[in-house]
Amino acid sequence: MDNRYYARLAPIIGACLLLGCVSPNPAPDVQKFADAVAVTATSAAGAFDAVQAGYFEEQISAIALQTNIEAFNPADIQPFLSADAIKARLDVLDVLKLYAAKLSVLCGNPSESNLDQATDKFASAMQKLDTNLVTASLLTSEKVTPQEIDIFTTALNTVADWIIERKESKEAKKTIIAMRKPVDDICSLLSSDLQRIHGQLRAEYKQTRQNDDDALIHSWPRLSPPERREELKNLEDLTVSVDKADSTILSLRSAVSNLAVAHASLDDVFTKDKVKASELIDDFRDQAQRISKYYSSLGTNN
Amino acid sequence: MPDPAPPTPTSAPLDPQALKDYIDGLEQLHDLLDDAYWAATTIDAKDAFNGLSQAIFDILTTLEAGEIESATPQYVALKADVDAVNTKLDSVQVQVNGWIHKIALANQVVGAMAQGIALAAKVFTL
Repeated sequence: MDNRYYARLAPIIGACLLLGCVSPNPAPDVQKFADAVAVTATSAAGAFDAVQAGYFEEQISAIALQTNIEAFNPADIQPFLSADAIKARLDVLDVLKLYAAKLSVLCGNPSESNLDQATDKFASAMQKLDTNLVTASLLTSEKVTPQEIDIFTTALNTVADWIIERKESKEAKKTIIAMRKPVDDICSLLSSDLQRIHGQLRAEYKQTRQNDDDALIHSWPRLSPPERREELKNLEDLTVSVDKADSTILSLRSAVSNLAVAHASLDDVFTKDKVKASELIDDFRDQAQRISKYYSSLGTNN
Repeated sequence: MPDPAPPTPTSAPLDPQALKDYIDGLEQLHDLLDDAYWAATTIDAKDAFNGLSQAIFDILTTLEAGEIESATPQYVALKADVDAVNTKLDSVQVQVNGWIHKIALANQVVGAMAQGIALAAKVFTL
């Protein structure tokens, strides 16, 4: 072959390189995705703490309206969500977190030092874990159908089994495609669950705020100006608690939805057409970080 | 020969779809009653909306708390509460327009009240 042949070939090779004929490197995007899932899972604990704290204030307001204080027992103040109910939700998020971390390692990213340890711990926990127990703690609403429970349980087991039984494989893209539906099913149920919690919490707050206001209207003529001021301040404090708990749960729900959307496009980061997927991952990561900062600020303010 | 005694109803889960629709309807009504409470400008109107809102909230809390089966003491107690609330909802519908002057909101509240009564009939069939 003469030099003219290579001269003709060179622009084609150059164009191929520019257009991405060389396999793109998915590792940075998958790492970003895994980091965002981890931040979301960690923030969830803070979110539930914030909900419990707000609910406690609401309960105090409700009890303050009771006329029969002799019957009051501090033990009657129950948390909005039981410890088991919170743990069930955090466990589900932990499954997603571990899945994303393993995926990131599959793509060639460095493993966190405790990832193997976390997997071993998870595997032994899964052996003891009664999925029905998680399901029962998570899905107590009349609004969740038996079919939805089945879908969720299957999805959770599929992802959990992959985490435990994963062989060393380079087939990260194939895994992402196979896990698309289970991850979507888990996120979908979790998102509905958070929406339901939001609705219940909101209804409870609204009712107590309304009751407070109605009681205030009736007692208004008998109150001194400083007492009126105090009562109005209490009502305003309750409103702030309502809004805080509201945005807490809604932002967590939104992060879970974004997680599913980003994961649905995650296999695109293995192709040359990865702009959209990268944007979705960036959106998810940015939101996860905003939520994390918000919970941190709640922690420092309290 | 005397007629045989009617069979005693056995407990059974409530129709899940009818129950879901009823809970959705009550949640919407509870939201609207809250809006109506804050829109009302007299103590009587506020008291009325607050009383209804609390009663509906209590029913919602019971429904959300766990499985309820027909022909159980819990069902009978809940049905009595629902019947009492429905009677009240039925009687106040004509007064809502006099309590709040936002016509669109008043219409929504009345519509949600009527819907709540209709949906309850599909859940509490015994």
